[in-house]
Amino acid sequence: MSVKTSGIGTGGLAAVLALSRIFSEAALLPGEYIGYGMQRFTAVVLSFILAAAVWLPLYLVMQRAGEVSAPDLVCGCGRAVSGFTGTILSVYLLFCAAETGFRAHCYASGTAFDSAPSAYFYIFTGAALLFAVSRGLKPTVRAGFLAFAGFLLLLALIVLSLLPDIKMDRLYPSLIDDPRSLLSEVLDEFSRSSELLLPALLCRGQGCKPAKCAGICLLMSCGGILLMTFLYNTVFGHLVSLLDYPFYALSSVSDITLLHRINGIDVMIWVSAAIVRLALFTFAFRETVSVCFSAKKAAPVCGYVFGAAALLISDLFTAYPEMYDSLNNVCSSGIPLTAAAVMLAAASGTGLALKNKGKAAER
Amino acid sequence: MLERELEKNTVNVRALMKNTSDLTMKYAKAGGVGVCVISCDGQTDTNRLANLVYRPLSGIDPSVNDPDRIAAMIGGELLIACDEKPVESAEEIVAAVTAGFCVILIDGVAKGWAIGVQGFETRSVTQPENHRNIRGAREGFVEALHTNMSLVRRRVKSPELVFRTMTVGKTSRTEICVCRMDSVSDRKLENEVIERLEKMPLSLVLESGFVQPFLEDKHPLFSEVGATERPDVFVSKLYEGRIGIIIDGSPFALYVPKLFSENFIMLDDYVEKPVFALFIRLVRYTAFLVSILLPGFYAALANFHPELIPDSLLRNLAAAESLTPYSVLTECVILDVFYEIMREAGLRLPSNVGHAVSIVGGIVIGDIVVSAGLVGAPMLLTIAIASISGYIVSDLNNQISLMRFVFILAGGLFGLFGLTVTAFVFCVSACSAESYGMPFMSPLSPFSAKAMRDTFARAGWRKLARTDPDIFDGGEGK
Repeated sequence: MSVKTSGIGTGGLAAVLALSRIFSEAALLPGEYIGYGMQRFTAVVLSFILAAAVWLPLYLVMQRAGEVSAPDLVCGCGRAVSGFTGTILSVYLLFCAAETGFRAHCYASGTAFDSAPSAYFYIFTGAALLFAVSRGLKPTVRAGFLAFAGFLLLLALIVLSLLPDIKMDRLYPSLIDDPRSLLSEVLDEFSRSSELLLPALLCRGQGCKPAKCAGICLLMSCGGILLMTFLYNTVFGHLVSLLDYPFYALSSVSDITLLHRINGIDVMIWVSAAIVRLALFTFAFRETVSVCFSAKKAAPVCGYVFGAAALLISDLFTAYPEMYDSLNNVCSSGIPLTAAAVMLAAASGTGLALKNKGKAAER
Repeated sequence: MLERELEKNTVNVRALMKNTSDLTMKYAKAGGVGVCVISCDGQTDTNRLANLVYRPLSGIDPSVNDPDRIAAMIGGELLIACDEKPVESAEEIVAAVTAGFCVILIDGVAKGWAIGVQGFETRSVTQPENHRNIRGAREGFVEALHTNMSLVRRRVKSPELVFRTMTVGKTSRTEICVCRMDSVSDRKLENEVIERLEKMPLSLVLESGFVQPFLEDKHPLFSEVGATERPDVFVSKLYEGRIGIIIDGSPFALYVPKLFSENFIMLDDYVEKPVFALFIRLVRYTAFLVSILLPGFYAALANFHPELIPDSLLRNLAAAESLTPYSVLTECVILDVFYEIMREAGLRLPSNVGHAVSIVGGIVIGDIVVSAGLVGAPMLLTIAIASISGYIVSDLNNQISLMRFVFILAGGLFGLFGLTVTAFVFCVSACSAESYGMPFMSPLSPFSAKAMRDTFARAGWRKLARTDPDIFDGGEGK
């Protein structure tokens, strides 16, 4: 047998990021977000095209720069710009992590884990997160890849067990029913593409290519979400918006009695995915602190503080859901994500240009 | 350094060996010169000593009186034994004598000759006790190093196989042989193994288990060093580029690096049809998961998520559990601990008594605890299935026992959520293990599509024969 001896691999990281992206889809409150009919497919495809367009400049800059991370390039713009970009990135990452914790808790308490009270959910999730972060990026991504393999197996089981229940006539041909709702769905879906930021922050020294990783992640996520949407629509039809968690519910509607119970496994995979997602945001924050704020020594401690803060904010969202709703209304417009992507691309591009200029002057 | 006077040399050797009772010194005349043959009682074969040493010495013409002439005859002209080396100090004499050599000292010569006449009792080559298979060879490693080396050499009659012997342990002076296949092995890996062995601070090395921790990286649960009793398995590991270590006195040979997926690969897989190998490997992976997760999963479902259990089954389980005085978690813990006690007792007792213990423990006590209403039959069945499944992956037996217990506690106390977090922690922990720079969980994660032809599935021999057996991907390890 032949095995890889180093790094986390482009495909491995992309798969884990895709799992994180699909988690944020599966752990949604569908009554509010998920539409019904072919318009949904159009919305998903358009949102991914938009995401690719927004993140493309950053990865084009990174490809030109070679083996460096985005914060490395930003540092070339000077301390003030790097500190400002680092602060914005940190806030954005913190919100993404807190949202992950909140959604994971909502999902766990609304499904088979309804026995998990808030306090001990956050304590145990925090402990698992602490363990993963202390072990490092490589083991976390590798464990996440195993969870991804579990998700694929689960998806295959669900598809197999649901084959008799798939009703193609529930897909009606109209691609756009209501342009305003389509726009809102596209922006909402697009706003969940924050995983695409992570290759730019995490790939340095890990044996994987950021642009390729983001591309693979984009395709895998799009394929996975389209398949899930297909199953929601063909099995549940217009009932999809009435279900709390369609992917969880899909596991229970099969004719094969034995497979009814795989919804327990479903929850296990999504909770693992949530912890991996939280860990990845923590590693990204550590990289930001380490490079943008030139605080290499303090970065590990800051990472633990970040994880704890994210879980505390999640708990705060649980206590005050209206606070989460107001923040989410802003975020689901896609403005924070676009701002982060554009700002990072601009700062990295400037950093690269200044670096090249300096080199030319030296010559 | 040795003196020219025979008496002084023998006194020195006797003093160095603290006048031990098993030291034998035989004084005689070779030609017209006094000689002394030093050996250790029980370490030498008396027939070989008589035929290879005493007879040639006594055959020297008595008219030869020159010690240097006698020395030249012993050192070169006489055909005494194939294993012969000069010794030049009392310490060297002691090392040779305790290793089963006899040493010839000549009066008037400041040098001696160690002759290989080892003849201690060893166990004959028999079928391995722990790693049995259906169609493979019936030979297993024994305790004698040189017999084990010959078992390996017999399977690879090529200069590609390289042995390098060394001595470890200040007191025991145990011989260790480091083996590799020259064209596929990583020289850096071999050097690291040798370096770790040389730096080992042990003074007594009696078993491969003494050496193993010094070859491992510090992972609390999984060992990144493999051990096998089978020469054929050992050779196949060397052929994949691993480094082998054979230790004198141990019937287990070690190899590094070892990966998680290797625990599920058996020699029999390669003699059966690929489709059967695929099936049986999937059964092994399933058995591993069942063994560690089933009791914990049962405790979690029964305590926290009964809605996930099908109705008819739930009614039966509830009926059985309502007759017992303990909670599901308590029952699960009691039965698991009881099973571990029986297993430990069965391992340590002589085989005849061990069978009796198994029968009494398994059938009599198992039947009685259910009929007496102490534990429910479903719980007994769950633990029994989990325990039997654990035996399928025998190399991970200890890890399975520990993980099963932790999962029982996590599932019983915190439900599926506890089980999920524990599984995640174990996953991260296993993924963080690296064996000599190689991820322990590869080729599962990091994933290698190329390696999948011999991980879950086993490709046919026509396909395997065309592929590179080397475990290092793209030469990174070289």
